[in-house]
Amino acid sequence: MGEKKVGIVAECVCDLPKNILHEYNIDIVCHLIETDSGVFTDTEEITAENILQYMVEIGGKSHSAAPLPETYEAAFRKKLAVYDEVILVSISSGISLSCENARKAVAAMGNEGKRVHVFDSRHLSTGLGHMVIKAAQLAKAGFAADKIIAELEDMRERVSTSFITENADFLWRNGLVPDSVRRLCSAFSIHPVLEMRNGSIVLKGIEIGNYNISALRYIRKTLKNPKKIDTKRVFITYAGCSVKTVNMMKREVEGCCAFDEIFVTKASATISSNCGPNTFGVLFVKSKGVSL
Amino acid sequence: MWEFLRELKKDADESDSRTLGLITFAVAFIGFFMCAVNIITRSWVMAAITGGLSLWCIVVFLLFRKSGSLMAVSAGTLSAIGIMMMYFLVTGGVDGFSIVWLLLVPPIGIYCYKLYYGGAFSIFLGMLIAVYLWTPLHELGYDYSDTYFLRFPIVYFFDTVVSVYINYRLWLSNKQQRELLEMSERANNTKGDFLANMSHEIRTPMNAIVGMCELILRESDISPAVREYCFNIQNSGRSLLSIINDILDFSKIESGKMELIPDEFNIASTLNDVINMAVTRKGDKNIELIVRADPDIPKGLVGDEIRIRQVIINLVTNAVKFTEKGCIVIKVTQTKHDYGINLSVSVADTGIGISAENIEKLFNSFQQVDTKKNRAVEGTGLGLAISKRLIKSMGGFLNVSSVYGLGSEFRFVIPLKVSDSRPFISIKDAEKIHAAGYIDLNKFENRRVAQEYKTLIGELAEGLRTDIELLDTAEDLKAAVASKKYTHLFAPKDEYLANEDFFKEQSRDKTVVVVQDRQSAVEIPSHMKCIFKPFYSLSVASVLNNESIITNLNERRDSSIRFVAPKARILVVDDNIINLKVAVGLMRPYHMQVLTADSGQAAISMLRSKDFHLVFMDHMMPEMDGVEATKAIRAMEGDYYKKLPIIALTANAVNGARDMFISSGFNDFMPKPIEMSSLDRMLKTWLPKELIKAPSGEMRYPGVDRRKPRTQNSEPEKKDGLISEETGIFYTGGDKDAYNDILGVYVRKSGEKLEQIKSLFENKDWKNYVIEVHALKSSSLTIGSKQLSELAKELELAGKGGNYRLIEEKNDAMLEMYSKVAAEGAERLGISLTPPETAAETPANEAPENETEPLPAISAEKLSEIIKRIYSACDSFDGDEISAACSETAEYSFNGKSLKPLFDPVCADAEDFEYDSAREKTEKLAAEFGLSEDI
Repeated sequence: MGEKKVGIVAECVCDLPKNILHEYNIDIVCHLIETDSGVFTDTEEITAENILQYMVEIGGKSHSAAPLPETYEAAFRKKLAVYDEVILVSISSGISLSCENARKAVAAMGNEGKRVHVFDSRHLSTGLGHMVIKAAQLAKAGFAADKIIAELEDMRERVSTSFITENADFLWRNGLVPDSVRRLCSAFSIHPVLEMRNGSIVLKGIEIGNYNISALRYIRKTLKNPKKIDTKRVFITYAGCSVKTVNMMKREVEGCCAFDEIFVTKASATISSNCGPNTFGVLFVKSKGVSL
Repeated sequence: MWEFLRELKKDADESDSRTLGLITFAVAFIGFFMCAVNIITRSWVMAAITGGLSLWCIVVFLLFRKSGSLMAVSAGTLSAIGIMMMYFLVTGGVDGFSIVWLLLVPPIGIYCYKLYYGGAFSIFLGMLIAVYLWTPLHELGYDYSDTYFLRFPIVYFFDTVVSVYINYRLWLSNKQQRELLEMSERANNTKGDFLANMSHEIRTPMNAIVGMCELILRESDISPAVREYCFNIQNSGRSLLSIINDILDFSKIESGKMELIPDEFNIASTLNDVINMAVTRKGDKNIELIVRADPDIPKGLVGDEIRIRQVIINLVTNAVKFTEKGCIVIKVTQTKHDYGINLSVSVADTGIGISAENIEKLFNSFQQVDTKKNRAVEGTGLGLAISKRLIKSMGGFLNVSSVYGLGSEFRFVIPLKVSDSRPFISIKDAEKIHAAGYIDLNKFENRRVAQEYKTLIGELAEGLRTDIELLDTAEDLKAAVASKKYTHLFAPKDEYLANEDFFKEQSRDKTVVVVQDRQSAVEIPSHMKCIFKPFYSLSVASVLNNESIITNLNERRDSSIRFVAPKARILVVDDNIINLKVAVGLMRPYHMQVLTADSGQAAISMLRSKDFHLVFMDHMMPEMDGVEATKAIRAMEGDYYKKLPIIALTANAVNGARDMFISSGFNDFMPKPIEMSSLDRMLKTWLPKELIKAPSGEMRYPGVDRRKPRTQNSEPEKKDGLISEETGIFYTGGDKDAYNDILGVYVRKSGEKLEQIKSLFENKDWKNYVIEVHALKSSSLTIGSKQLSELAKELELAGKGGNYRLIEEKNDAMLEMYSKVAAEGAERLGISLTPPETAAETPANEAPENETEPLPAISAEKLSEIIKRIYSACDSFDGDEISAACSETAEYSFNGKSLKPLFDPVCADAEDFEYDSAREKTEKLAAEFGLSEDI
């Protein structure tokens, strides 16, 4: 205690709801989405619904890009005007250039950059969101930057980031799977379950059959060991699902594990453009036995 | 029969190739399975045959994958099946059981290969079976019992007939469904076309109604009641037009015929239009309209401004509809990119909000969400659907976020190119400005309003790069003023009234600006400034830059007019006389010389006799339409006719229309009903640059509310006397210089007119007295003397009604007022009043000269033509044309009389803008000449 004040900066791909960002005073740096007509800033200019409609209805092409170093620099400088040190909790460097661009920004800031720490979460979406909240809570509690980073490193392996997608169409569009896999998934109603492992997206398993039933099965499998789960908080994060489906998933999560807080959040446009519609995940932290 | 078979074949050819491929693959799989069974049972021959057939099927499958030919796969697979079945028939399989497999061929074959191929194959196989079993051929193969020989072909035939019948019924049912679907699609398309056509047909007369109302409202001598009725007709007409336009737009978008017309525009003009509209729609609702526009948005953007404005107006209209208290915030921002900018516009309100379930169906056509709660809200439910599609076609995105019960925010972003990167608002000597805004934030019940104002002031200071502070109590303001040197103080009306003495004192060395509602403006001292709500960057910048500001609600249409072209000659061609009048009325603020023609043929005649700078040609006209007329004009001899810009007027501006018109010889096209912004753009593009001039003086029609007199204007007018300059500028087209010219004519003619009226009064020549007083009524209102105009009107009515006693009572008062008005006008212009004798001298002196030398006689045809031109010019209020026509008569005589003195009064009336009087006089002359019937 009595240490330097630490401010937290995150990226829009942490998919945290506005009230949490506001509560912990977390600043957000937005990713970019390029379409055939222009470049749009995620969350501020384009939403998940927008990009999904664009890709599904028009068949338009898009690709996401990490924020530019200048954007990071501006965010860091703004935060440094209030705080002594800044930690950026960034999306996994295995799937985005965010960390690289953030480090370029730090380098460009010279001496001031020494007060900025870039942390590679090796997660995405609300998996990353869990770490951002943790960092913000520690910062609020007055922990120093190095201690916060040490805590985050310890937490990194315990975060469970997984998703189930209705089909492999968007994974194929983004070059994550070959066309044959996409066709196979489509022909046999195979729904891939993906997870973040060592900073990369890997295939965790598959569910076959009716999508809603498969999704419920995914929830049951994911939450099959409630004792090993830190039940403080869980995020149900979705892209392009109807309100009815999301409510059904929420009820299933409630039935599987007694979490203190269940947050239902929409995935950002960047995440949605990569996973496609009818994707959702249950993201939580595995128990360490010590709660904050 | 053949037709039927052809249909069957077509149906078969359209069958799913993927299914056929899978069947081939399945046959191959069965073949391999049987081959394996035969190998296990050591039936080597059968194993070889079934294996061979399987391989054949695999080959067929692979060939099919490569060539994609349905015929190939059908023939290949069926031949394999046929061979396999005949093999079963001949060998009999286990105890002759394999023959039963043949019964599967008709149902499966017909189902998979459709009636045409499957049916043909089943019949062919049946014939082979019959030939084999009913001839001695059967002795070559398995020894079936006698029962099989006789009955199996019959059972097979029956099986085939049943299969064909069932599939025929299926085929028939599918065919009927397809036909019904097609019929329904056709009906839907027809309905869409009908809707579009009807909307189009309704729009044309509605446009005329709205346009004519506009012209009536511009007239000076109508009673307040008629003005009110007319205003209501115009408003209702506009509402109906907007619904019709929505339907038309939607039809165009749905059929892919909507064409975006990107052009350079300034967001300031768009915002101005949106704000004026929003203020009108808001009416008396207790809503704060807050506009937060980023001053750094580039000055020149390239996009379809009309459509962008349409979307913003749609969003704002919705916000106003569903908000009863609180605020509506219009926020316009940008982000810079390599290609230009992303323009973001958001409209947030504190209205009823939308539930999450309803957001999903918000953009559906013809649907309003939460209809129970919103049953009082009118609308077609098309606005958002159209907006979303328009934004999509611009390459952008529209989205909504809402909290049920608390409010909604609609936001769109579109990528735009930049043609002028300078900011659309900037402050001169920003560092020298120190401004304070005093807003009592506690007066707002809704905290969001206070928060928005705080944010707005912060953004203004940052965006305009100047020192603007927000102070929310009078004490803070007074303390701040005592400790700091401010250049400007802004205060809303209530805050100003509560501290009136303080502000009056401060106004000695500071610019005090009162921010008021248009509906409840109060009088403020002339040296203070006034801006109307919403208080936003453009109006604040105007005050800080000490520029004149647009403050009036009713100048919407004319606020976009940034130039005049008094020497430009325009020809408008339309077969609909009302459309012509509307077009002429709309072009009047540009001070151009506008002539009209009611047919393509008439237009060609006019072009032969007179040069024009620009022609607006209606597309659809009887006898000779616009396209034919344009082709004829282009075919005329001379470079002028090849280069003359001709703009097509069309109510059917669909995709590809531009190409069609350009290929027909037009230079461009303009959609009807004519939009001021389109007209402005066309004139700017096609008129010779040397003819375009910046309007001098104030903006159009400053400060005149057509519905009710305003109590206060931002720049107080000189209205101490009998003349209201503001009203005069309004009635003379919004140009101060033009007003001064007209006032000059009025003053100079006053002596002569006074004498004339006196003389008519003394001679009790009531008929001509009424004519002169009528002229005085109009001309006095034109120069801004409403009092004199009213008095003249009273006497005119008295004269018409035979109430000569009233005339006798009030004539002197009127003449006295006339003299005073003329004197005041002369004083304003700094000129001396012309004595009546002098004014009368010129024509009197000229006449004898003309009479001494006999002039050549003019033919009746030529004179008729000149009189016709005068009529037409009177109808289109074209003073220059009347003068030109009159001057042509100066060199001629008719029936021994010199024409000049006869036409001089007509010319004089034209100079006085007394077009009715000019026409009356010309008609009289025509009657005198005996030309009325010819004309």
